[in-house]
Amino acid sequence: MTTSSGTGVFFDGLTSRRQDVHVSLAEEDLAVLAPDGRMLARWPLGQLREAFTTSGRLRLTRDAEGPPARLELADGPLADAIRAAAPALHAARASERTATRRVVLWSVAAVVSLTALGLFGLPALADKVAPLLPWSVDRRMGEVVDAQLRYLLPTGQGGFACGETATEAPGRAALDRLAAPLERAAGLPVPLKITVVRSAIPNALALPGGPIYLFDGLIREARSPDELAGVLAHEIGHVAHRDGARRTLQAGGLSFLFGFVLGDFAGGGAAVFVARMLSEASYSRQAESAADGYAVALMRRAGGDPAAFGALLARLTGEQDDDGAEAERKRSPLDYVASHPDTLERKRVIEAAAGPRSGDAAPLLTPAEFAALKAVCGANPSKDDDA
Amino acid sequence: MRPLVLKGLLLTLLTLGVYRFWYQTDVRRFLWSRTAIEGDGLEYTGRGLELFLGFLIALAVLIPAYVIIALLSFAGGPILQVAAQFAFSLAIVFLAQYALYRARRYRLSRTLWRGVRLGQTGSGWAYAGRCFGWGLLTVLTLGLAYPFMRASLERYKMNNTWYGDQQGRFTATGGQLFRQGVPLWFLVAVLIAVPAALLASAAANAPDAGRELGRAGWLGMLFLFAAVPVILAVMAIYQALEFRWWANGVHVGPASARCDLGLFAFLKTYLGYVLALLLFSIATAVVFAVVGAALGGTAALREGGAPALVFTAIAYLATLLGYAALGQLYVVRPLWKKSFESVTLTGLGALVAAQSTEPPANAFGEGVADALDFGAGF
Repeated sequence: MTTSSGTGVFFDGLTSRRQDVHVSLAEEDLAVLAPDGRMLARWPLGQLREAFTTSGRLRLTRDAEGPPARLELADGPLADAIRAAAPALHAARASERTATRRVVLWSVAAVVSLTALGLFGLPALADKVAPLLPWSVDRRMGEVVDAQLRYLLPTGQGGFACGETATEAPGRAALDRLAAPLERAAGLPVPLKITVVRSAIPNALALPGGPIYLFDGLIREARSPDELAGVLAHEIGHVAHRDGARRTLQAGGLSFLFGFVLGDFAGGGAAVFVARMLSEASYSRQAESAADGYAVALMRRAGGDPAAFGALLARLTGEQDDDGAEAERKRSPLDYVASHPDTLERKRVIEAAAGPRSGDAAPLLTPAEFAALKAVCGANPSKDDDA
Repeated sequence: MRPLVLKGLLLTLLTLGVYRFWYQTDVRRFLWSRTAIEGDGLEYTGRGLELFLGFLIALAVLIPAYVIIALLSFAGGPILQVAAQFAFSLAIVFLAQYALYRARRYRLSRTLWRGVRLGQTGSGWAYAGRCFGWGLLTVLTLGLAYPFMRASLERYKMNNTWYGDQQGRFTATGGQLFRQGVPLWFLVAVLIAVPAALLASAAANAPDAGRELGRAGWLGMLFLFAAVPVILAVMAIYQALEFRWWANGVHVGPASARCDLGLFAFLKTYLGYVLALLLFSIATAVVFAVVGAALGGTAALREGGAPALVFTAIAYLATLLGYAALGQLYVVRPLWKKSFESVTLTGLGALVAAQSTEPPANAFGEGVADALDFGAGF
């Protein structure tokens, strides 16, 4: 050893006194000496650690119980000699690097497993839990959603629900006549409550616990009573399968899982959004297919045309199949994002399940009744009051 | 600092946020060590694992609380639900103040200067209570009580701050801050009141509309758009003013701070940041347009498909990463630097501290603040 001593600055960790010291490197340890020759510290080389600094100097500490003493040396031959002689100088930094690698690795693994839980575990759990809930829970969830919808949905003039005035009452009566055989055949444990919404949007939806919203836009779109009966049967399917409650459970679980456990940070929100969209969409596509299957079976029991619903669906999305030659759409990755299955695919499945129709079945409403139903929101199409 | 920030943000993104505790630790260690007092740098001795554990403990406490609140609000009617939401929000603000105080304690007790730790005593609940009371008063007085709130809270914090066995003190008063800040308050009040009055008069003159703005209305809108950047600039000036006021009131033992920060110092930093943001946005837009075109034009992207999704995701993440890095490099670090460079310490020769006997604090407060998204910053 050629260079084995030099000067440095020492902080003993007991007081904030700054001491200029003489440092001497020996075989086994590093000695810190006061100018008067007094021994201030003697650190075994194996316990020497480098503390973080960007000052370019070598800042040493000791890996042992006790006060946080520091020894600072200017960069130079002595610092180099200490770096060469102390075996564990970078042990702290190396172990930190290992720890970092482990953190990154396990975090990625956790992300993968949480994603799997979100995509598969939560829906399965919601499927198991939702049927165990009492219907009163569904109904309460439905009431909350109902209040929000009534507030948020833009509706035409004349109130949220159609069929309540004297001129509109015949349409309402026709609707009840259309729904009655379906309700009887479904045998739900809760009473069916259908509301016609004064809105031009062609849509229908089922809330948790039974309420069904049938939009005027959809009624005007229908060409036969059986098409509307098919829509109702599909929504009754959602009620019977308790999809509303399942959806609420699942969405709550997901936002908890991703939003809370993983925390919020730059970019995290986006990842959470994508994961939720994928998971909810895949789940809701399953629910839609199941409701379609339910609708076919229910329509058959109620004596209607099970295939009519498929025709309405195809007409709504404009994916008409002219003379049976269906425009075969390529499956794109975006299909995983869509909340409903491909419409033509649905129509095909519905028609396959419905089977060939015996020609003698009568429509569910007389032409006069159907005309009344079409005018349940007044003679003119309701325009949304969004001026 | 650039490699540290980019690496940290990238890993944070990759781990959906888990790495942020280690990233924060790296940033602090860097900033601390770059801060020298009388030639001796500060040392940050905290570790990422401690922050992570603090976060886990916070989750263990907060998750059951969340579940109970959710169940309660579900069990009750709509009125109870609204009341529960309101109480819950208040509780979160309260808890966040507690957590921020505890987080400050953690950071101080992980700060070493000349081999002696800093520390903090006092109660997080007492601090949160003060915050709450003063916050209420500040809202009721339209912000005029704010300087006195700042003074009271800083007094509490500094009186409970220790360098080893040397206690801190805070001697700046709310009256001083009030006198310095009240012109800015009036300026902002005018900037808000004038367009509000113009818009109100426009609405009064044309009661049936909302469509026809009228001259007063247009003038009001114009004024409003012009006022927003001015108000932001005033806030940056106030931030500098408040820091100068604060630093001039800080003492530790026999040592005192003197601060001569220019009022426009922070504003200049923010303007530089806005410029950097603009340049970055233009650059990324150009790059992605070129890459997108090279990938087969907009038609292929519009049709969807896997390449489009991947391309969009990468572009989005890269942009986010860039914004976060710019914030760290063009705001956090320069503000830190300017703050410290504007301060000179006197009486340091007489400041001899003995190591405190208080054990270092844990990171529970940091964890709660993080879990509540009230992050204590870097």
